[in-house]
Amino acid sequence: MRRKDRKLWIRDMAAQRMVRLFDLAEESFDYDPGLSKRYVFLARRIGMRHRVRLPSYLKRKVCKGCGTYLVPGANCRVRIKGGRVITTCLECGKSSRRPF
Amino acid sequence: MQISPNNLIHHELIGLEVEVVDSTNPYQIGIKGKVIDETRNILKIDVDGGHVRMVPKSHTDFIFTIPAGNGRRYLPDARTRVKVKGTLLLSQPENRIQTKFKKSFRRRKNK
Repeated sequence: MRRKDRKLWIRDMAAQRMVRLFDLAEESFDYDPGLSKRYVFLARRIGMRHRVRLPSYLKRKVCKGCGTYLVPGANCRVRIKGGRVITTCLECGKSSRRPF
Repeated sequence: MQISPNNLIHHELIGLEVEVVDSTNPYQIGIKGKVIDETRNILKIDVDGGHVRMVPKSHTDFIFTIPAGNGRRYLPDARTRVKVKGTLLLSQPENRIQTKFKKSFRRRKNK
């Protein structure tokens, strides 16, 4: 395998594993929120190691303050205010805004 | 690229069904369940819901059950079972993507 091909292969593998870990986090949130936090932590660490970004639809599901997996209605509050979506984490109180 | 016997040691182990088939600790042979967490040296296995056992990766052989691929090489509905030497998995989960499957391992396996 060429060096470049190998690098692409590694990035692809990392992206797959991150998505898989987020699926597992969603699954395990019902019975063990601590475990889903751990899966999110692992997914972010894989991304940091191999320089792969989280897709934007997954990035919204993580609290930027404490790294908790966010589920609307369970541990976060989602409101629309001034043309922005404000997500407040109810674990640590950190709120993040993004344009609607 | 789906999880397959070729890339299993680089892929995510959490969530897979696993069975311990060989170990230097006889009390750990036969542990069966789902992998719920992974560290550098240990796999945490959930045995029948809630009871978690910690198994070291070294000196242990595992059989992982993975969902079958597109049904080209494997039976379409059947699940594939892969036996893995724990020593091959011995690194932090995020570094395991880069580990190289050296030929020396294969040679040792054949003997």
